[in-house]
Amino acid sequence: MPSNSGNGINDLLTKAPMSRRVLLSRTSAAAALLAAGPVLAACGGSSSSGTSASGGGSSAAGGEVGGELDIFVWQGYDAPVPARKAWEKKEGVNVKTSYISAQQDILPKLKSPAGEGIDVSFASPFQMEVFKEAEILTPITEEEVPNLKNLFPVFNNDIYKNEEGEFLVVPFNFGWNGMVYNAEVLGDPNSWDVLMEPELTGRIGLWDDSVTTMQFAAVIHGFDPQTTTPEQFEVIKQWLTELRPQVKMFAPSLGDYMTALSNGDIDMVPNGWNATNVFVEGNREIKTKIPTEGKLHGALGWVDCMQIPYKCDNRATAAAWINQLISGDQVSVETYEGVAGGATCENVPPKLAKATRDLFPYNDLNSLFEKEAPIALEFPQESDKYVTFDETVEAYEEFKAG
Amino acid sequence: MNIKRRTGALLMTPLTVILVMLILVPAGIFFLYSFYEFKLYEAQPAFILSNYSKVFSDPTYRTFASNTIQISVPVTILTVTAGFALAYYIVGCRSRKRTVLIALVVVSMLASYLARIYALRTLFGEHGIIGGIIEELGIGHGAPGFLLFSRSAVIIGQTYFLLPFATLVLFAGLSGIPDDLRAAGRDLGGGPAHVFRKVTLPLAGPAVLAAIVFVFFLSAGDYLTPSLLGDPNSVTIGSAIQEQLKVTGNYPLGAALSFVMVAAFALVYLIVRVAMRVTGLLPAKAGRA
Repeated sequence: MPSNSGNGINDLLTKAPMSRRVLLSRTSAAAALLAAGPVLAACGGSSSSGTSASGGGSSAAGGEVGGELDIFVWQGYDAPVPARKAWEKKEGVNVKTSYISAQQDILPKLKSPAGEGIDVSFASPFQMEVFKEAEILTPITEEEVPNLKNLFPVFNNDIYKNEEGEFLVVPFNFGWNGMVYNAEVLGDPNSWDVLMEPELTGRIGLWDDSVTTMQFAAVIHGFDPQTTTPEQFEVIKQWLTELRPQVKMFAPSLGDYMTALSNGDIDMVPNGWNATNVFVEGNREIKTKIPTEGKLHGALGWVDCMQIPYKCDNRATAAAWINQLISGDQVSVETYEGVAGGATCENVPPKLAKATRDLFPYNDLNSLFEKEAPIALEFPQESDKYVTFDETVEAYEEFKAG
Repeated sequence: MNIKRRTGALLMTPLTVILVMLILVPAGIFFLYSFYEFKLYEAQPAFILSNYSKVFSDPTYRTFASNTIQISVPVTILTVTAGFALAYYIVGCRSRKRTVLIALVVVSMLASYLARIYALRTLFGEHGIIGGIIEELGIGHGAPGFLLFSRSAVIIGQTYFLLPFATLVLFAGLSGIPDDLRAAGRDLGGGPAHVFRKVTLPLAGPAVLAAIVFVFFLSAGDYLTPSLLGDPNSVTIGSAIQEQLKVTGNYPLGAALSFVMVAAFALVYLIVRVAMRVTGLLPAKAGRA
């Protein structure tokens, strides 16, 4: 599997000015790591482990693999039941799953008493600063998760690490939110200009998620959410105002817009999931695309990453589970197939079915994340200079109200 | 008497504990949240009124409130009217037919809410069952647009979902009216319409008030039907609360929106009650119940 050097996300990070907030957050993250030392030690720390590279493993720092593993994950990321049960039997583990229903559920739960004993959860790169400030994440080493060494170079990136270069999260699945459309009606559009065409008036469905939609709008305008100025934000808001008459529905879930597309009630979802066409049944020709022509271009890239929260009480098994999921073994492959996911380790894609593998440009992931679908970081929680998260939520609600 | 009262209190204790623990305590905590500050995805303890001032000052929420009223008022009128007619008919039926009809009303409530919404989408979709029939008959291309992803679709959907609830409440009220009273009205020279207006309707007043309140509250608080059947002009306060609680995680603002809505509900209840009292639809004594 070819790999690439260079890194768009790194460029993005290094080009971004070091604001007071970033400086403070990085300093606090470092302090958090120091402060979290005893906690880490209590749940296994980051010392050596015997987890095998092929997935699973018999031992790791802090204890043997086994016992109860509490995972708080997106549905589908808990692996298909037969494969998971086989792994549980082999390792003597009982996986107890609870599902994340929204990005914003993760942090409050992990910080609350309900987060006690959760061994594995998820985080997205755009939330990293907030997670670091909340001192949730614990470093994950290659000794604990040997398959980290198989990550595509694009994922071996500072964005996922602490100041000491240790992984705080393990990239697991990636994709993008972009143009999902009915090709029978729209042919083969390659520009976001199509959104404002008369034929799409009242024919667009928007995935009703303020965070994703506002990041998506910023990214296709070529703005970095972390440093979007008020002037740039006005451009985004104006674009949304023009888009609204075209919108027929706000879909509360992926499944909902898939049903509407499949029934022919809408013809396009601009912020749709790139693997939608795998799951839409029916006789419509649903396609997904990252538009490359016109003034607006690209799509919103995303990476779902696994983390071991500081309240974990079975670290060895948590590490073994993470290692297993990115290993390319049966559990791993079936999980990626089940969610039509993008594999983050180089050795996995050849083992995936062609339909799943062809969803992603594995031979040029750098280009995907650098040019076509940049991974957006979150709008800042506080800033005097740039547009904040709260302002984007307000703008989204204004957009919905019309 | 004393023993009877004590036994009653004893029997009520488990229910009281359940109500307090599962409704009042969580509601109290949620009320406290409405004064908290939202920072870093967290409700942080504070005592601020900015969440409430935002609810009242932000024109976005006025738009959502207006959408809510434009959906809930017609839903309430349609549902209570249709429910009254249905309940009135059922009450007048013979025993066996009445049982069958009530069973059918109850059975219609058993299907999953979501399943019923998606059934409506299949029925009303542009290329759904109705659209297919229209195309087959050659009288148009697909289903009319107002049937799905529109405000009228939400009104149709909510009326369909809430009709059984209203019917049961009204049936309970109407079946408690003795036939003798209506017979007395007729004996005194009243025609059917006059007896209905002067005897049946006032005696059914408390049930009508309960049905109105019940349907209006459920309709105004519903976020699922507007999300799944509505268009961009169907975004309601319920949807805004859901957005704050589920997507952005802003519990304080979501809580403030919720309690403003509760206050609005109380106001609506008072207005409806006074209006019914003034028009003679709710006898003063019955209204106290």
